[in-house]
Amino acid sequence: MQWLGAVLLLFLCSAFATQDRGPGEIEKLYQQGLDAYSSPVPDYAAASASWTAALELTPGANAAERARLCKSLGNVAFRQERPLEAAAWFSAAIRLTPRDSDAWANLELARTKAGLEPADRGDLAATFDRVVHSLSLAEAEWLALCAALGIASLIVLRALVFGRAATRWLALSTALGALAVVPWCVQLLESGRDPMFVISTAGVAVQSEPRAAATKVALLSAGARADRLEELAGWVRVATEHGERGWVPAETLLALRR
Amino acid sequence: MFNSVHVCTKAGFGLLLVALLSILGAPLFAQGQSQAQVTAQLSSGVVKLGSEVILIATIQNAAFSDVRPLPAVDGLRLGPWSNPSSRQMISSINGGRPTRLDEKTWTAVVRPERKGEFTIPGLEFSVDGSVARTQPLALTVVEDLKGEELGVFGIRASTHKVVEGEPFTIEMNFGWDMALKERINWANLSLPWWGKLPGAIENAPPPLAAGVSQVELILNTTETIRVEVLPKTTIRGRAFQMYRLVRSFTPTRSGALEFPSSWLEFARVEDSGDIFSRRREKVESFFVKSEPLTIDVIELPEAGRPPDFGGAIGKFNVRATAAPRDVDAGESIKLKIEWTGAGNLEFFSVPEPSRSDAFHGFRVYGKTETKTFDRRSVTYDIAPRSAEVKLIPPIVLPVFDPESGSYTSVSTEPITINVRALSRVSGLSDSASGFVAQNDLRDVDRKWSEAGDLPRPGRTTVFFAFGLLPFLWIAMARVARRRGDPWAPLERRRRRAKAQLARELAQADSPRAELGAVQNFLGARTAEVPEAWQGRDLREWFARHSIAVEPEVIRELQGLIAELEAATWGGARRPAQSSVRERALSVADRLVRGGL
Repeated sequence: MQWLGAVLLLFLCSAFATQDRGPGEIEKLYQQGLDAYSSPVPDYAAASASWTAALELTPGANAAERARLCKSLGNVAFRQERPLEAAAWFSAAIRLTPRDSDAWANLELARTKAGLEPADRGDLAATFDRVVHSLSLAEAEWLALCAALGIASLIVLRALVFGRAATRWLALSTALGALAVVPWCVQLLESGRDPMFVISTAGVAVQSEPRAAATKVALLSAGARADRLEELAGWVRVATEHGERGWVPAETLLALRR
Repeated sequence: MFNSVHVCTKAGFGLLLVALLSILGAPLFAQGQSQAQVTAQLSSGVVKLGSEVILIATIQNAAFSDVRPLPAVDGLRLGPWSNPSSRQMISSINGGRPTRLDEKTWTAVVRPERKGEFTIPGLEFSVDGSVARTQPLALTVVEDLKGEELGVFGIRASTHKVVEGEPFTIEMNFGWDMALKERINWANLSLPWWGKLPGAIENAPPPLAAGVSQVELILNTTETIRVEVLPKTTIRGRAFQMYRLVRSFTPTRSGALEFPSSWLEFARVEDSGDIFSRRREKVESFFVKSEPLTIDVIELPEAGRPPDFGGAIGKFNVRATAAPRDVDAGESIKLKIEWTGAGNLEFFSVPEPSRSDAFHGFRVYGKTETKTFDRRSVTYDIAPRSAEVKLIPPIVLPVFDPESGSYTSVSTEPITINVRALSRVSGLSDSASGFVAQNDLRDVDRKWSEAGDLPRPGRTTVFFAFGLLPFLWIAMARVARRRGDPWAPLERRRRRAKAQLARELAQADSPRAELGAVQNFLGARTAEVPEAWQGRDLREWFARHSIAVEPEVIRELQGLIAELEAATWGGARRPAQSSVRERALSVADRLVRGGL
């Protein structure tokens, strides 16, 4: 049994590896943005600039901080009467902290103002999607890992304590483990995607080449999503949900991956 | 003297013709074929205005023949040609050489449009590859002065000038002198434009008022139509029995809409003949004509046409109702708009609120429409987006007014509504104090707190954990087997062996199957294959494995197996099935109790 203990210890050590914490500069920039946003005559442009700069200082680390900055940028866009852009920022925040009720409330408000249908339509498909995406990547990984450990424990238990009950518990835990792995699997499948949100109120045409006079091959409506494939100066190559690929002007899109 | 055989080529008479031909002999009539002959005639050379004559064309002895288009004659309407009827006749004069006659006949109706002397030019036919022409035909059309005196037929339009898409009505009043009432029992309304008015579509007729009586008349000699019976009317100092027919049309293109002269034929018809053939004959008939009518249809003017003009033409009234009017934000409101008045209520496109900036505060889910001859109703399903919405804006229908010749609009009145913010969204609703909360953003975080992220185990770790599970399963299964897992497959087989033996014996239909059942039982109890018990020395085996089974049981088992083997392989008599079953189960029970 010693080797089993060693494996478990290895898991825990790798899991709790130390992370880089953002420096105090992010806090300073956030405060600057907050001051501009909260002044009696709000300076939304300055707030947006500060928070965007802060967001650029946190690449790949601390999802909670990045989600807070995305939400704040969403509030700025909403106050500047750009509800589509606000909806994009709130969607980006929800990708980082999926159960943030403030972000959800603001997202639905922004979508309503932009004339889009609710993000959570309340039907079965939307509910399933929300449940599957209700965990962050770290949470989904922990859940999957716990499921694996639970199943392993019951395999060991069943070998040591014979009986029908142990077998039943093992079967049940395997079924639950399979369910627990679903959010992680979904996130794993989506990890290679780089979704973009159309923030142009008139929608945007997908063109075959990155020039204004190129043939239009598809249309992305306002609030639609498309995956970024590559980028050129001023142009982004995207794949739509229906499989069309083409170029759209970069200023009409906002990246949801932050 | 003529010996003739008449054979109709239709239906089953073809067979009769073949039979007759074979009797007469092919060589006989192979010779007698006359030259092609073309004739045309009218059923009558003189006709009353309003009546019609039949033009009959006949071609004889042509291998191939067909009609060509009828000529145009001013004052007469000719045709079209009917489908041809054909007949064949073989004849012999005084027993001489028989000759064959082929004949095809076409007919066409000739309707006079005015009185006078007319000449129908020679009709052309294609006969065996060439063109044959008949002699011209003369037709005299006389006015039925008596009919004009005794009948009346007036036709009038609601207007003589309409714009494209503007409905108009045609009213026809007709009848005859009441002095003829007892003599007239048949009437035919001949409307040549009926059902074939190019550039106009007929609208649904309005329902008749209650208590109005109707009669059925013949229309264009082929169909019937119900017309309204009017009260007795005095015309030219005499009492007339009058009828009315009203129809509404919507022109679909500009230009002139022509209604040529229509006719009313009223007659006395009597039945004649015997019980075998009865026919109806007009013993007296009269014709009366209406004047032709022309409606000028002008194009809708481009000048001043609103971009959202949906084709509404006429004078309309509008009424709007909404229910419910006290709603939560997002709750559905049914907005019903009803247009009435004179115009093309059935044909215009209703306004789309979703395209109107005035309805920005509403979500428009859809609409349902109903159309009748006198009203157009639309129910919009709308929902206010927020509590800031206080009014349902007017619905504006752009309309072309034919009277003024300009575009105008018909608008509903704005409807006041009360929209309450959802308490779930604001949490501030206080209707008691008259305060209405509004929905707004949740504020940004006012303090920067360095919330730490949950550390990630990493994708590799999760994959590694799940990858280990099968190896763990195998390892633990081995441990369980070593520890004598009662749920291992062999152990479960051992426990089920006795019940399995009873089942197999019950189903066994031969000594071989019974022997197999016993061997299966022994194999399952000893974790061996059943075949291992084939020919085994039982006494030696039990002694070697130190199993405390009474020797008597071993002897009994050995005896049973020997009996079954003898019956299976040695041709001995099969022991009684019930006896085998009873003995085998008894031995099995004692073996299990003995520790096997």
